[in-house]
Amino acid sequence: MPEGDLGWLIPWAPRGKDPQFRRRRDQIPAGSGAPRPDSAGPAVWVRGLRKNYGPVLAVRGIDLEIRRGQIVALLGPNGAGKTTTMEIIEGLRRPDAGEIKVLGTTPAQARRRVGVQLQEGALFADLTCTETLTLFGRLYGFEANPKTLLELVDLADVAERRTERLSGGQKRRLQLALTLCNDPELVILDEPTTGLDPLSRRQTWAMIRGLHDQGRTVLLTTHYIEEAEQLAVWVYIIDAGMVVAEGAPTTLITELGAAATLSVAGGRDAQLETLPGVLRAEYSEGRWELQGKEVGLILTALNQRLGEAALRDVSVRPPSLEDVFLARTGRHIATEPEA
Amino acid sequence: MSGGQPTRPRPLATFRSRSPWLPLVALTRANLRLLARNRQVMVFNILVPLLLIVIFGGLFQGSRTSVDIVAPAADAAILRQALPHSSFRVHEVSAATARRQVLNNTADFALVITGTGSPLRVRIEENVGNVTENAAFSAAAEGALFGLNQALLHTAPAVIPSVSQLHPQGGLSAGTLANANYINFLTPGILAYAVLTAGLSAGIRLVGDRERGTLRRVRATPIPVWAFLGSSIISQLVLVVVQVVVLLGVGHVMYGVGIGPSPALVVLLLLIGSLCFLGGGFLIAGIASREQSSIVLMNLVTLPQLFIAGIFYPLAGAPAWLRELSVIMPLKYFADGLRALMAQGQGLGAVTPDLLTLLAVGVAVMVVAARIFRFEPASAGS
Repeated sequence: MPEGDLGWLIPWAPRGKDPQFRRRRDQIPAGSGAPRPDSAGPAVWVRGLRKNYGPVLAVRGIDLEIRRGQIVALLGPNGAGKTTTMEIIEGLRRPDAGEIKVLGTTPAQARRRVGVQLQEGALFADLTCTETLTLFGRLYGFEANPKTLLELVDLADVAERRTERLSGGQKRRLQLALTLCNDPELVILDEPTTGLDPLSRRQTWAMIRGLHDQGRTVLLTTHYIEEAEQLAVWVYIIDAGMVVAEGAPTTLITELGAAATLSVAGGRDAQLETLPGVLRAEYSEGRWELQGKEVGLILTALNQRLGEAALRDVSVRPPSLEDVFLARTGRHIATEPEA
Repeated sequence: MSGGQPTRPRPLATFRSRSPWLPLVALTRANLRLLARNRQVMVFNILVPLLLIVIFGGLFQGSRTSVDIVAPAADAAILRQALPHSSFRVHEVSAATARRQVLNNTADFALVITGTGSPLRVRIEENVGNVTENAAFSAAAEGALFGLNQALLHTAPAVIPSVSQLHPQGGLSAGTLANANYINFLTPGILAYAVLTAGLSAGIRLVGDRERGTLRRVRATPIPVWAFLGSSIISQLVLVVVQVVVLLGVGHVMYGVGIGPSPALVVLLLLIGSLCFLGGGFLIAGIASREQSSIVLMNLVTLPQLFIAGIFYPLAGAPAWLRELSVIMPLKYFADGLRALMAQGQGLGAVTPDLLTLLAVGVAVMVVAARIFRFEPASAGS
C-alpha cells in the first residue's frame, strides 16, 4: 500500500463486491417453504406494544410495520427493549398491551413459518450439530437438510461434533443455521453477530443478504451501527422502550445533515483546526477529532501534513446512525463491533 | 466440478407434517440420546445404585456361610423341615438355653414357633447388642427368617414373623421384622431410590436447560406443551426400564434376587412411582431458578428419604419418632410396595395403600408443578 494514501480508510466501501459475500449469497438454496407469491400485508405488524417487568418499563408503546421481503433492523443500545419486542413477536412473551400480527396471524400460529435466533438460545450440549439441526427441523414439522445448512454457515467440518465442543462463534453460526431448519418465510435474528469475529460477522451479513435475495423477510436486532447500516433497508431506532426514529438508514442520515468525524493521533501543535473543510476540531488525550462534511478535502489536506506534523493513525467515521441516535436521545449508542 | 447439467441446490428443509407426533418422537429420541451421553445420569442413576446392591449384597450375604439357630426341641423339627438349606444350622436346646446362647453370642438367634395354625407365627429372638453393633449379623438373621418364610410359603399360606430383641439386662422389645434377607430387602429399596433420584434429576436437567436458554429455544418452535412434557415422561420411563433391567439383572445374577409372583403389579408400581417422582422433578424445576439451587433442593428431598424411609434397614427396629417421620416420605411407600411385591410375594391388597399414596402424591405434585413450571429463566428481558 503506498504510503500516504489514506483512501483505504474510508469504511463505506461498495457492498457486495467481496467475492466471498457473493458466493455465500448465491449458495443459499430455495426450499419448499419459500414465501408464497400470494402473501399480502406486512410480515410483522405491531401497534401500541407495551411490556413491563415489575416496575421496569421495558417497552413503552412501540409500533412496527415490517414489509415482506425486506431486511429490517431494530437498532438501539443494550436494555432499549429490542429483545423484549422480538420475544413478543416470537410468541415467547405476552405483552401487557398492544396488537401483534405475524405473517397475518398470531405469533403462536405463525411459529411454523418463522425462523428464530434467540440472543442466548442455548443448544443441547450433548447433541452433535447434525443431530441438533435434525431435531429442530422436526420440532417444526420439517426434515432439515443438515449438510446443506452446515455448509451454509461453514460448519460442515464439525458436523458430527457435539455442540459443547464448538467455539462461541461456531455456536452462533449453528444457531443461525437453526433459524433455517424450517425453511422460514420470516427470519428473526436477535443480535446475530454478537460474539463473532470480523470474518464470521461478514459471512453472516452475506448470508442474511442471501436470505433477503430469496425473498425472505429478515427482522434483526443489533446494537452495532455498522450492521444496521450495512444490512437493513429500514431501521427502527429504539431507546428506553420507544421508537425514536425510523426510516431508511441513508435517509435518516441525510435528513440529519451530520458531518463525518476524522480521528488523528498527533501533537497539539499540529493546529488541524485550520485545515480546509474542518467545521469543528477538538484535541484530547493525544488525538484530534475533526468534523466536516467534505471528507475528501480534509483527507487531502491531512495527507499533505502527515510528514511535517508527525501525524499517524488516521481513522474516518462517516455520519452514521450513531449521529441520528445522538441527535434524538442526546446519548451515544457507544458500541463498536467486538473483534 | 464436472461439466454438463448444473447441480440443483439441495433444499434447506422439506415440509413433512403438522402432526404433533413428529416433534414428540424427535424430542424423545433426542432426550434419550442426551440421557445416554450424560455421565452424571449414568453414574448417579445407574452406577451408584448398582454399586450399592453389589457392595451391600456382597457384604451382608457373602460374609456368612451359615447361621446358627437355636430353638426349643419341640420347634426344631419343624424348623429343620422348613429350613433345609445348609446355611441354617438348627440346634435343639431348651428355650432358656436358647436365650442364653443368643445373649452370649454362641448362637445367632433363636426361633420360637408361637402358633402352628395358618398363618404360622414365628418369633425371632436376637441379641440387641449384636443387632446394633453388627449389621451383618442382623442381615444374616433376617436372611434366615426370610428363608424360613419362603420355605413355609410352599406349605402354608403365610407366615407372620415378629421380632424380639433380647437385652442383656433381661428386657424384651418386640416389633415386626421385615421378612426378607438383606439383599432381597435392599434391592427393592435401592431400586426405589434410583427411580426417585432419576425423577428428581430430570428436574435438575430442566432447570439447567432453562438456565442456558435451551428450553425457550424449544418453546419458540410449534411443539405443543403436552408433547414437550410427554417426551420428558417417555424418556424418563425408558430410563427407569434401563434401571430396572440393570439393577434387577445384576441382583438376580449375583444374589438370586427375584421380581416376585406379580410382575404386572411391579410394573404398575414402578410406573406410578416414576411419574410421582418425575412430578417431583418438575416441581423442583418450578421452584428453583438456578441449576445449583435445584441440586440443593434435590439433596434436601432425597437424603432424608434415603435414611429415614427404610432403604438400608428395616424401620421395625427404629425408634418410634423415626417411624412416625417416615410416614411423610413418599419413598417409603414406593420401597415398601416394591418390597412387598418382590421380596414378600404379596399381592394387590398389600400394596394398594402404597399405590394410592404414591398416586395421590404424584397427582398433587404434578398439579402444583404444572402451575409453577416456566420455560423462561428467572432473569427476564432487556
